[in-house]
Amino acid sequence: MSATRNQLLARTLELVINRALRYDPGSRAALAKLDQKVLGVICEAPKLQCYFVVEGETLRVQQFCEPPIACQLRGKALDFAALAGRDVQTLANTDISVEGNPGVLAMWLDMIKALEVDWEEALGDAIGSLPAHWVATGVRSNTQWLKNRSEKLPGYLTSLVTEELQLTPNPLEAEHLYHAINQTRSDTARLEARINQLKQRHLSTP
Amino acid sequence: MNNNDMTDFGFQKVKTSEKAEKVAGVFHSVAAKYDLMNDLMSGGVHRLWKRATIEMSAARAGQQILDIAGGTGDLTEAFSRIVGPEGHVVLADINGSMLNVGRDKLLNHGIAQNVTFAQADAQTLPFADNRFDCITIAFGLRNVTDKALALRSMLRVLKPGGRLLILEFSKPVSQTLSQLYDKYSFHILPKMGQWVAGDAQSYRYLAESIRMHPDQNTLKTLMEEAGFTQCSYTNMTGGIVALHKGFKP
Repeated sequence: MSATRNQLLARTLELVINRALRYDPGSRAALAKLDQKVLGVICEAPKLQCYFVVEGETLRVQQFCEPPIACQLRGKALDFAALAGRDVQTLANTDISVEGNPGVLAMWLDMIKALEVDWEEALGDAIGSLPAHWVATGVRSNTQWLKNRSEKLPGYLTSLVTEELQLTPNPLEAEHLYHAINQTRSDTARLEARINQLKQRHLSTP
Repeated sequence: MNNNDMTDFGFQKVKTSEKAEKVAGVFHSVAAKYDLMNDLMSGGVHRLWKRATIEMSAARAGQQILDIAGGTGDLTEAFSRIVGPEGHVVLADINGSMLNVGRDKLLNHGIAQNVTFAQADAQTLPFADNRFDCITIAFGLRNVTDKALALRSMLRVLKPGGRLLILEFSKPVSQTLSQLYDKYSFHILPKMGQWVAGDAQSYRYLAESIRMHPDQNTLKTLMEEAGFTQCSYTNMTGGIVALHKGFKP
């Protein structure tokens, strides 16, 4: 089943990427530089291979591709997923191996980093310009709020920790306090014993 | 009657000389609804199988491509775009009705410049030796009376180093899938043919002809015996379909 499944994945990926590129003229133009520079991605677990082939201003994602392949990446799905969350400059210290021309890989990475999809326009095509504008404004303000919060959060945490530290007694002060408490406890015990003794003496006196 | 003069037509045995006519009858009947039925029968998956064929063809701009049994022109349309104005695609089919549907469809899609149409028998291809860089035959070989003769004919018209791709129904690799597939082919498919195309018999023939077609390894051997080298196949959808590839030495 895998050949058909992989073909479906490749086709879906191709549709999504090309749809996104429609809303990013800059990246579409940058694609032209990658003409004839095929990038292969070979995933070993699960078994899946994709070749990214530029054709004019569109991208084809193929399951089968004949050489020459300018650059080929090989690794496991988890390695590629880990890569996706990072600002990648180099593949050193990763479990992904590179075959072919690393310059081509750098060009592909530059193109991906420069992606700036006008998703508001895409949304507008789907649901109309005005609703898309409202949704976009809402998302932008929420995103801005989250961004502000996430920027201020480290500062808030630092202040909190500093204040808590200032209120917390240092070990010498704490030691002195514990000593004073112990002293009070033993003084109280002695006083209690003394009172009991005096009570006994008073009761035994005729 | 000499048993050597008989061949399979689905599960029936017919005279070799009659098979082409009977197959033609089937395709005359289904031509008008062929694309719709393909989508319904395969749930659209036939597009993925054909896409894999195009990828594996490694077709390039300027190449000469022959699409045998090209029917309604799905592969030809894709090849036409790939080979560009410098290249050329020949859409060949033995069946005039299918060819007409294919030609009309391609013209409606604006494809005419680099495509020619030929009503031709795969067993005796009317083309010069060493003409094509790539030959494809998708869901057509099982209808050919003498498969070995057709393969030799394809070898002749291929350029040395050229490749043949055969996309064809084959044998599912899993027993469970095979049983499900049998139930689908013999019970659901003819009913679907009746409802949509008004022809259950042709779709019963389709199921039967698939069962009578050589399995993956037998077809690979046939290709090697015809003279192809580096023959290999890729199973698709659990072996329901196999894509065979071979090169002319």
